[in-house]
Amino acid sequence: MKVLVIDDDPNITEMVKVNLELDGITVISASNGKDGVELAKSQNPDLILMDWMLPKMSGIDAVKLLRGDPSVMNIPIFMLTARSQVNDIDMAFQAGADNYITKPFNPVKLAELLQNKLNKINR
Amino acid sequence: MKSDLSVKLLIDNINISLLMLDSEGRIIQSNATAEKLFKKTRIQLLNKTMHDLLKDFEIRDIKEWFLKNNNKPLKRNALIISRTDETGVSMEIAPIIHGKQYNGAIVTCINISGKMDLIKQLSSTQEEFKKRTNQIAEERDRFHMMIESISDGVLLLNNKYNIILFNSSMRKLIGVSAKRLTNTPLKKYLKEVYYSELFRKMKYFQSETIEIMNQEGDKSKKIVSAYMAPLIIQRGEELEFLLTIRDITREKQLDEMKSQFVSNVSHELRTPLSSIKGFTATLLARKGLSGEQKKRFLTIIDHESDRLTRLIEDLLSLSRIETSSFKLQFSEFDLKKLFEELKHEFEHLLKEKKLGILINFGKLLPKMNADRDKIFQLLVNLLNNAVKFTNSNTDIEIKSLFRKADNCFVITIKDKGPGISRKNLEKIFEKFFRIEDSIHTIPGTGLGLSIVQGIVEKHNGRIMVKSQPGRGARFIVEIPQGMIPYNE
Repeated sequence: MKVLVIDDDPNITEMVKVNLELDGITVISASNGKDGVELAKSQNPDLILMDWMLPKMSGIDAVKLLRGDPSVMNIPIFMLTARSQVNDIDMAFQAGADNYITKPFNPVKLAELLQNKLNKINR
Repeated sequence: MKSDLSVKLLIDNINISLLMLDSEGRIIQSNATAEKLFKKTRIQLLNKTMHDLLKDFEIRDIKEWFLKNNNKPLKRNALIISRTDETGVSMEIAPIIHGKQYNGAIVTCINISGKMDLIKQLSSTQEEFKKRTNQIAEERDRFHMMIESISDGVLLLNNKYNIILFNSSMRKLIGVSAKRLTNTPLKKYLKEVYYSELFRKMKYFQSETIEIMNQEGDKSKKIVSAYMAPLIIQRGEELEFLLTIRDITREKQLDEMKSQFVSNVSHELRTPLSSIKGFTATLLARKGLSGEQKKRFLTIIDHESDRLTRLIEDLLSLSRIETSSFKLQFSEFDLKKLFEELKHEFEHLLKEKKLGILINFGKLLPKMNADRDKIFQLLVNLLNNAVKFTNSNTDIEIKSLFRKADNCFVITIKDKGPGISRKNLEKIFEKFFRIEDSIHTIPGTGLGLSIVQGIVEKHNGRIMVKSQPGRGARFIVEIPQGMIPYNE
């Protein structure tokens, strides 16, 4: 199982990586929206964790791009962001996100959540 | 003969005073009524002028008139004159002119004593009327000036929404330069979308926020607060609408900025917290971590806690400085000593980064009159930036001089770092703004320069930054002396 983390905060990337890898999930990462989209297209992960405030291209724009590309449009995308207004959540789902997780978050619990989701996909 | 006699009888008995004047203006003929009116005999009247005769009479202008015309009236004239004994006379003077020759005049007088009261009343009514009309004109002018002076736009519409009245503020708001607005439909001056919004949202006696756009000029969009009151006039027969409109674009902008700030603060606080929370949870729940990982995570938690602390401190600093009730504590101090303290504070950091600091003073630097602590904080923030954004093995220059021309201290902090791009230069004083590439590599809250700017502004000073990519950056702070601080 491969998960792509797109976040410009190296701390976040590291804590997600550590926790997911301990559960046997491979983690690849990108630190900006543009690289994230490219990595998604080239690596075809099973799930994407997307931050919002990213350099070069925002998370929302990246989501829209991915949803518009048939090769990656079906990859589940979970937002992972400090933005928490109702408007934000609306916008994210409108853009095509499948789930919305706010920071601060518990990466241990996140790993559990992703395990379940990925197992469901596999079945 | 008979006819002559009848004429004489007629003239003598008629209830109208008749006088005939010769070409010199002297009386040559009079009738009995005239003699009675003027209380003179025929002989007494003979050869007298009108001027003589009217000596007892009021209404001065008649006398003036006679004098002016040298007793020779050339035009038909009608006058009302009165005497002190309440005798009132309506007098008509008709000149006798044959060809081009002036042959005298006929004066007819009718006694209107009984009607003097009426005439007096009429003239006093006329006086009253004139006074009242002036009063009303004055009141109307005052009212007009009041409406014109109101900074809000005032608009009066009839029941068909045509403009009856408006003031110049209203005109400025809609941005119309048309000369004649009265009696034209309001619709003409507002774009359809704004017009329908105005009337869709408007309720009597309530304020509504509406967006309108300037018709001419800069076509800027404005947010306004509009209030409508219906006016029932003419005993309930007519309905008019009074609108007052206030431009609240600026207020809305400030609101938006405040809201944005709160949102930003929230985001900024959550970022270090996410790391603290995430790594703490990981350390508590995970068994398979190496010793090295544990150490690293705890270090991150430690650093992020510090970061959070600095952020909160900076926020408080900024918040304090920006409060309007905040007062600077002024004192006179030696700037040189302050720089010594600064150098000492940064000694360790400078050594670590292998940076040098050059301090330069202008000649005869007087004592500075300012808030010492705040100036120190300002210098710390600027020097911090210089240290953070500078390459090793270079020097940071701090210069200070006193400009006599405008009684101003000028402090310059110059570094030889990567410089600031034009795009970023515009934004560096914005709260929380961080140079993109440095966000995760160089520590900082994004508030340092906001705080510097706040301190400079409270001192009525100025701050400027000059930089080009690759050529370092120069921050120039001007602190004027001898001016009354803006919050006193």
